[in-house]
Amino acid sequence: MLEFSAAQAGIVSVIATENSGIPLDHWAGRATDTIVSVGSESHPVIREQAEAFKEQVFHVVKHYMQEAVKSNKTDLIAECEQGGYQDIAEILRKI
Amino acid sequence: MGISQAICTSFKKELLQGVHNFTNGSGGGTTTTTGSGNAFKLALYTSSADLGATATVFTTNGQSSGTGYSSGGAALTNVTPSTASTTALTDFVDLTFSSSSVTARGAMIYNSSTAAGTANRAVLILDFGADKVSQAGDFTISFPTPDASNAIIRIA
Repeated sequence: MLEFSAAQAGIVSVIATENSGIPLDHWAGRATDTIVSVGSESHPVIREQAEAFKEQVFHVVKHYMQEAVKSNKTDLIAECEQGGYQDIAEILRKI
Repeated sequence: MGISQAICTSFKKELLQGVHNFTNGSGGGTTTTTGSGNAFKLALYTSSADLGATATVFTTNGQSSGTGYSSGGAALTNVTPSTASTTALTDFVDLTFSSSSVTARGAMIYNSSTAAGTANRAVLILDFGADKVSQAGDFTISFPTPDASNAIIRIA
């Protein structure tokens, strides 16, 4: 007999926000987790180095995400100004 | 009855029939799935839904509604199946309902492709454990680490 011991569904995490988006740190963390995975059974020394590397990756990812957000904001402000919506452009500039 | 987290029993049978293909893009699959990945979607449900292992197909009964959410939910991005030791697993890219006002207690992942003659076959049911509410905000589902112990779909 061929038998699978289990077919299982994992646990998702859900974040729902009110009157705001999800903080950039969350996305940087998710990106970092996707790029770098540290095995729980790794040798402690290897694990320590991997965790340090992961921390560096997090900050690099976060920095460039911030730059991307700023660029997108610039696009939106320019779009509003070109459309004659100076008041909306000003609100965006203050956010 | 409510929502109970489970891999749908019909899905387990359909796996043995070669109905579903979780590949991202071309590859994998059988003659019934034309060798390219199927399209999977995630639909949100309120606590009034009755969903569990016996679900076989997407239903609108108990489905969430609100700004930023359309019936049927949203498309998922497949991550091509892999193995970790003796476990086979697959994953999806995180999904966000942006600028939404919606309440959900759980979700269904289903195959929106017409596979072996039938569309919208249920894959699994997710129980969020409590109502999750976005209000003019983001509603994000983050999938677990794709490893042998945590991946969203695992066959050990």
